[in-house]
Amino acid sequence: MKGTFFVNGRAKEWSFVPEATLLDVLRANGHSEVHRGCDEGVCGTCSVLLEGVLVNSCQVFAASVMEKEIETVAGIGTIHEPHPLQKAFVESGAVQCGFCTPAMILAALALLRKNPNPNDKEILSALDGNSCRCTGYVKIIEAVRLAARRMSSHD
Amino acid sequence: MSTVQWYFPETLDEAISYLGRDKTVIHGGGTSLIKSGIASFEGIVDLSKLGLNYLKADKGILEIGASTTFGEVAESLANLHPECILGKALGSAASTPMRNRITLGGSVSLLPLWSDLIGPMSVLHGVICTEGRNGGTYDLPAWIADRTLQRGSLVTSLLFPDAVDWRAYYHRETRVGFDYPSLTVSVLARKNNNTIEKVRIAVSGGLDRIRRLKELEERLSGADLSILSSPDLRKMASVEFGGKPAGSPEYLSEIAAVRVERALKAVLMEEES
Repeated sequence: MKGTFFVNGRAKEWSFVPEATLLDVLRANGHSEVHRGCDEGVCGTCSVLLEGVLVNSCQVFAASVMEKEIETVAGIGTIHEPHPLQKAFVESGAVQCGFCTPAMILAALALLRKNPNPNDKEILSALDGNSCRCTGYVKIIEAVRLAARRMSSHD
Repeated sequence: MSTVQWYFPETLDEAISYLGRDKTVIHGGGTSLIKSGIASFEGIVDLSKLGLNYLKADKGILEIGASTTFGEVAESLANLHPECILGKALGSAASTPMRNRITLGGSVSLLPLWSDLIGPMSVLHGVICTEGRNGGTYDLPAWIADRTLQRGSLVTSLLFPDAVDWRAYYHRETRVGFDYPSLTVSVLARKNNNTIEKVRIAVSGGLDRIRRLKELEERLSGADLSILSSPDLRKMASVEFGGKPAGSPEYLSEIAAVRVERALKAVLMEEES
């Protein structure tokens, strides 16, 4: 089957099998920034924003999200113009092996868009579906706090 | 080559017409279908264009469309009725990205053993509204007792006729934060000064799937708060369990009883649980 997806603001028409997940389709079409982890909806490393809402792309059938807006970490900043969250992750030492980082940043972004000044409980809740196998959670939470402060002061 | 056909009906009648076909299944958020796989099906009926994504709250009555996600319910209720047990329970289920896909309709269709919906459904006297071959409204016991009610039918909404103005407590027993609960405890209570007016208690995960502790509810209703110090409380909160990875039947039964006791003290005496 064929379908159109709006990925990082651009319309993409892709072919895929009816049982393909959104993760399958994104990775088959070059979006290697969306990582494949557990494939069971547990680790969160395949997270993307679907219509602004955090989802595990391994748990979403591609057919069910045709014509929808999808954001990956590649759509929020570049190496020359990183998003404040990306800068905060680097400056806070929140990137170790980096495998969970794209999803962590998207989970934090979904939170900060709704709640620009989250407390620690709200940060923990927003990141509750994203595992860091390096266990670097303290630095990750510090990075979200730092980005929140910087993004709020820009408003 | 897969032959699965996706359908995107725009009316309830159209959706129901597909359900009469062989090997055709409903897609809400898809989280259970992903696990089971869809290759053995011939048709997938997606509900996203039916407008079943809504939450209405009027005079304490909640009506929630079947396509509404756990995340949406938790967020809406956190604003509208922060003490409502349904919001507390669904907001603690699974994880943020999963809550953003699991729908109420899908959850009530499957009612898995680890369901975070079944306890609040029981104590809130939730009603399941369906359209199609067995269209009608069903309470939870009837729905659980006869799974054939779902054949050829579509869950359209859940209704909670008495959802607010309760002191509420919800507990999910897990070994780590992100885990399926081995049991859940749902308690609603109303009190007037030192008198307990009304209590509803449900424990899920046991041999009965969901068990209302009617004997304990009757004993507590109308009683003085001092009854919460009675040593009989735990005995009346006893529920039978089967063995699970999380523990033996005896262990889980004891944990459930302790959690019920703590829940009652938390809602009625504002004690830390």
